[in-house]
Amino acid sequence: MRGVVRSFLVSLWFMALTFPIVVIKVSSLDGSIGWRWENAVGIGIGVFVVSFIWRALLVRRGAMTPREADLEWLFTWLEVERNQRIAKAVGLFIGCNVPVLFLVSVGGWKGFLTSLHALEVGTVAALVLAHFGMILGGGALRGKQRGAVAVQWVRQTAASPLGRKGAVVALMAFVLPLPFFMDMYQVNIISSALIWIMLGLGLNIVVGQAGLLVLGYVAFYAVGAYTYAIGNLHFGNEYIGFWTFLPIGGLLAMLAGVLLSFPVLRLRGDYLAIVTLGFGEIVRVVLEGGSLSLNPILSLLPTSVVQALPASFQNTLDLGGPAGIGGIPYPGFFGMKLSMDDSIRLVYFVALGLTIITIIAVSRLRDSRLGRSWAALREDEIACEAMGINKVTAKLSAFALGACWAGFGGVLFAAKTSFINPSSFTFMESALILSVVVLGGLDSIIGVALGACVLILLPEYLRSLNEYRMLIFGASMVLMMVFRPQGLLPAKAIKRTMPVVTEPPMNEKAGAA
Amino acid sequence: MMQAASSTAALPVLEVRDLSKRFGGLLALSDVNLNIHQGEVVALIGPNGAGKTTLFNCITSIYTPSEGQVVLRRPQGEECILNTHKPHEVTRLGMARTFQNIRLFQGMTVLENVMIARHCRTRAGVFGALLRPAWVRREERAIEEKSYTLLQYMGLESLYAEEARNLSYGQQRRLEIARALATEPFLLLLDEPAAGMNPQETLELKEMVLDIRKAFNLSVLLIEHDMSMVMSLSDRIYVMEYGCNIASGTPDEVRHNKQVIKAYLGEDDA
Repeated sequence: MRGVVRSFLVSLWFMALTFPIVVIKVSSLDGSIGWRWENAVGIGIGVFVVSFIWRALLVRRGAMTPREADLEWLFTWLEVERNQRIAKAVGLFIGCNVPVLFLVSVGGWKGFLTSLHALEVGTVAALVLAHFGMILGGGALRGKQRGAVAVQWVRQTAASPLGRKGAVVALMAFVLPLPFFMDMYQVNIISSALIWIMLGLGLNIVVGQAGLLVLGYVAFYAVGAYTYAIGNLHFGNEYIGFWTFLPIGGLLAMLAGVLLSFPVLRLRGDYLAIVTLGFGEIVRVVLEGGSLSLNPILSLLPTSVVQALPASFQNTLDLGGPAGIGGIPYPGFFGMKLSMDDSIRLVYFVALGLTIITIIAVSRLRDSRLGRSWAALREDEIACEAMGINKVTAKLSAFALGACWAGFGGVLFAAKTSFINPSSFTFMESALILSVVVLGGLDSIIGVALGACVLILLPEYLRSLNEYRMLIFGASMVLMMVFRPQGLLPAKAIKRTMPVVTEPPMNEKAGAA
Repeated sequence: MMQAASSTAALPVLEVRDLSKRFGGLLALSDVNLNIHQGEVVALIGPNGAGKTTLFNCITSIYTPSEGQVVLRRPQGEECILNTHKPHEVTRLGMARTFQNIRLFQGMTVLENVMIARHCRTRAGVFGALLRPAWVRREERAIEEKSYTLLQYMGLESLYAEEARNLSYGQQRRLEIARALATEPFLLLLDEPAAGMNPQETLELKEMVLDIRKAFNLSVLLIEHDMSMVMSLSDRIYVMEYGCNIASGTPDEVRHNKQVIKAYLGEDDA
């Protein structure tokens, strides 16, 4: 009975936790308070059921015996093959219908239909994902066999080079015409997801590959965004625009990365995290301060250079303060006049192109001399040095390259939103980028890309569920970390097939000599 | 045999001169002297806490010596004073080491572990990695092949795609040596290579050390507690106690040295 009692207590606990948001409804119009007790009951029942599933999964992982979990009956029943098939069918049925039922129960039929209308791709994707999830779940309950048919099919496709090429082609065929079918709101959301993939992959260089925990990554993002915003303010014209500032933003962010890495070269782990956290905050506070005096930099220059500056030169740099900087133009396209919609589409294609370049660059870096030196740094710093790897170079290059991609992302972000202010560059963003990397799978490129999609798209598409949005978001993060701490798609070692080396092994050579 | 080894090269490949190391008030090493000649196997023995590993760390520049010098003579003839070098520079100069508590890159494959060690003998940088010109692809291929050859030499080639943490203890030790050899050293430092091995494995290890010395033209300095291995393997032995050299010489000389017996067995009245 212990399991049942525990489930009961857990559901009570969750009812208490969610009480303020699901039960109390304060109407700000007439100042009255409504009590929606039925919601608390719903939560209680739901959690009670979910906690049984939770324990079933724990039993499967070997963390519990069926007896401890009060689930002996289930596992005895599942020992029969016929029952396993039934369980799978039930899992499939529930898997197909739960998301629908859920949306209906939360938003009502009308809400469900409107949300379908508004979400289109997103909801369908969520349904498909949930479907896959439940097939996995059905397969998981079935016993020791790993995964269901669909999952195996995905695995096999991913394993063969032809399958992978086909998948890439199919994906491109899907994403390239996308902005011509969707409304601009959707295109914008997907563009930001693409920017987040870039950010995630950039941070992955530092955190995933080199193992340096950085909590202030958003600072580099801000450097990129403000480079474009301020640069556009002072130098922007029809020739100098997005395409000029994209590389400059990347380079300046890279410079910021190098500057930050000097003081933190000796630090690692928690200490590194705290220093980089401080760095992120410094950048944000400077941006909120509104202006930056250039006098310290000018004093370093020879007087002749300073005197040669034009009279219009101001020795304070206007950063816009909390109000931010607006009027940032969209990327140009060979000087053509683009409509609003076409500009948004162009941002999408630029984001897509940069993401593809990022993916190629990052995967090449991973499988290179430099990437191996980062991995060595992550695995064991002392052994890494004993292998002849210069720790300083390895750390510097990881910081510089990671920051560079944040800079690109920042410039693109500024171009996409056409208005930036410091509140887009808070610690929350840093934490979210880190979550993308950890949730997706440290050091795994596809994992990080998937993580970015899930973390950025999920809250957007759950928007119609208003107050439940962050609850579901948080709950899915907790579930992920408990049942799949290595991330959605954990990193795999680079596949190498060793050729038959015709040379005889060295000991034979030595013996012959 | 020992005379032959020391007379072939006029000057030692490694020379430790009056080396001292202080940690705050603690004198971990005091005026330690040590020479290794080309092709020699030299053992460093002594009770626990005698400062053997500290000496290793000073030689490989993980620690900076407080006083004294570490001089490395490369086969090319140049002479380097290692005191101010960084550990990775020492490796590049041609000295490789293994660690007392195995320090493999646990999460990486066996082959990658060896490939990492090729780092200091290759040169592709950021742009090489991103653009992958032909010479980088050739270099990568050469790294793979060379690493694989070393694995074959150590008898680990069938495990090349395995994660290093999944290897047995003895295999991990061998992999660590393979990794050290991949840096193309002329001087190999082994820190307790036989720790945790059974007598059979120790015997194989001894054969292997002699083998690689010949095949790779190495000089070897090793710390070891297994006396039977030390006595049969080394050309010369240095004995340390409380951070000082207390004796040195051929295995026979050391075996009969009174101070050594005292250090190991305590005061003997008989």
